[in-house]
Amino acid sequence: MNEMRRHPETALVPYVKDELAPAERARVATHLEACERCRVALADVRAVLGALAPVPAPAEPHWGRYRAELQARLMDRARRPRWWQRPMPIALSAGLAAALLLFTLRPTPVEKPAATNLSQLEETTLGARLDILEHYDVVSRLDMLDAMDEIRQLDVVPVGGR
Amino acid sequence: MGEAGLWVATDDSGVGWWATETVVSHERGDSSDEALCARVAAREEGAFDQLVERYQSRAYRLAWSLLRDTEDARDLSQEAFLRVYQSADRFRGESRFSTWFYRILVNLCLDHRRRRRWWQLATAHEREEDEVALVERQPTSEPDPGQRVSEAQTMTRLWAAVHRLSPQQRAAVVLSVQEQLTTAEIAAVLECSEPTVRVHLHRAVQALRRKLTP
Repeated sequence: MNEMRRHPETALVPYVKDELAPAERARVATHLEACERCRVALADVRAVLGALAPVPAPAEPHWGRYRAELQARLMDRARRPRWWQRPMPIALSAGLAAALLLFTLRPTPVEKPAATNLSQLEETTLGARLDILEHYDVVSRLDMLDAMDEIRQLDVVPVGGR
Repeated sequence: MGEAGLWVATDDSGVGWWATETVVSHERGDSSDEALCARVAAREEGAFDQLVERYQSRAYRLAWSLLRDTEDARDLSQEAFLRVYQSADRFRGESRFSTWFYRILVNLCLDHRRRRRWWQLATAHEREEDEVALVERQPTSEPDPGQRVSEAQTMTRLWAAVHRLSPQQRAAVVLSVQEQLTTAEIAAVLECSEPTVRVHLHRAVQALRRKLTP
């Protein structure tokens, strides 16, 4: 049994207002007999509810005038077309037209030509990430590029072999 | 439904106290609220006026209790009646008409409060002054004026504290104390469960208890 069940604090307002079903009311009453804490809470509920009555209220308006206003609002609303039936205000129409025009005349971004073969693709890809090359040691030996043709031939076994 | 209370006192300032001796009739048949609502839905002449006359006082008072502004109370209670007129054909009679009407009105008021919350924060100082003024407006024709003023001050302090509760707690307290609705009825109006209403009321009482002692 949890704490809330043992201390039926949230049932105290309905208890004071005599709204609880008989079984729950009996359960709360039994609990109250044995629980000082809940008796104090019950006294608080009674004190607060008692102090809240009578209820402050404003002076009532002139009801004839009130109903006349209401009738006028009702007539006004009945006459007023629904929002989708209303003519669009000039400023809003002009704004929408301008936005549409700007959208239509916006500059078209120049598309990069798609790579047509593998070497072009490599160029495009590597060109975009040249910063990666800074992390490779080989780049620090650019002089080796001069001998690149020879290096490429190293793993080619000449016809006839050694 | 009959008149919900009795206007017991007022003065030049226009603020008085409302005794909570709620008289709620649940008559059925042709003169019931539900039947009247059906006649409004059928656009029967005079039905709407009848319904307004039955509820105008309660609607205005409830809106004022939630908003504490006479102009807003007037505006939103009228708006609630307009909503009833426009959607009367959608009232299926699954709940009492009063519950349905309260739901419309309370939702309008809570939405309005949410929208104007920044403004209320900005004018908090003025509100405090209004609350003090409310004490000064109490009728003082009691045998013991000193005690009467003290009680009035406690009430004013307490209702001012009610105004600072969360919107749901405030609505629950007003519906419970002022409109004398049961927990089940409040749950139907606020569209939440009964245990939730009990928690709202319990927390509200806890907060208000601290205001009882100056």
